[in-house]
Amino acid sequence: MTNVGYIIAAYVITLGALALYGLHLWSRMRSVERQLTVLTADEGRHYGRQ
Amino acid sequence: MIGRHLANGLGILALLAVLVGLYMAFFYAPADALMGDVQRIMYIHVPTAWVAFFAFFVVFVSSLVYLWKRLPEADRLAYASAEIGALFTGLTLIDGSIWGKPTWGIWWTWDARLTTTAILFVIYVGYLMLRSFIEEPDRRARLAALVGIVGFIDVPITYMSVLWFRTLHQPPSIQRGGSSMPDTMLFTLLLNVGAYTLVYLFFLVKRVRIESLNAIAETLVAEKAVHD
Repeated sequence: MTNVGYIIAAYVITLGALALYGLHLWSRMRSVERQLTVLTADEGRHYGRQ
Repeated sequence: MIGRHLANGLGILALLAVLVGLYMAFFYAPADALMGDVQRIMYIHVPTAWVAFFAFFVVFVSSLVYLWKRLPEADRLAYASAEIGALFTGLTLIDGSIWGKPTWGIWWTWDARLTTTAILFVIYVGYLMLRSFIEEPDRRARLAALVGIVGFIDVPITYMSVLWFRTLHQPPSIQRGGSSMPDTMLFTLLLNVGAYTLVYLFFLVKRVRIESLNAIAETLVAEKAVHD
């Protein structure tokens, strides 16, 4: 590996890991928002029954 | 709580800053007289290390606040910051190792700076594991806060290790007396430190929001169980 290879490896690994973590956060956010939408809809139905 | 638009604005600003930082690292800053182009790894290695230290400082302060005031928000902030700090410490170890191979001829050595950084990584991965093992929220937050406070002791040790011990690792790039770097290199380094700090803040805002929404969802599930 030449020095250029080391430089590219360092940048690709670091930036790639940060991008993947960003995607992971986005996916978790969407998942918890969906869960909340379902729960609040259930809550609304529950109070609607009373 | 920071609004969604403000958080997304912070994300766009962080992305732009990283792109400008990349441009400057490769096209504005000169190659190092001794190491050549491989020294450009510094513009990613030093910022990731700085963010890791800063993230653990946030864990330390939030943990103190949690133990003092018992605020769940402080616990959530500490948790979020520890996760991001562990990620940045891992990246510091990886890009440092990649820089070490062409510079020192080895990927790894049990040098004081490298060893204390590896210990730092283990401490905060342990912090995250501890949180996942304990079910009861108050006990989990209390024990995690203790680890967050005690674990922070390794941060100044890691920083000072290059001054206290004879090491392969170079001394801090920026010290109280100034910097030995030319202004173009220093400016590029500081801009990259700012850029990755913005990335950290963006991740932190998103990660804390996920924890807050999770807490609301858990409350709703508990309420639903009581009603049913």
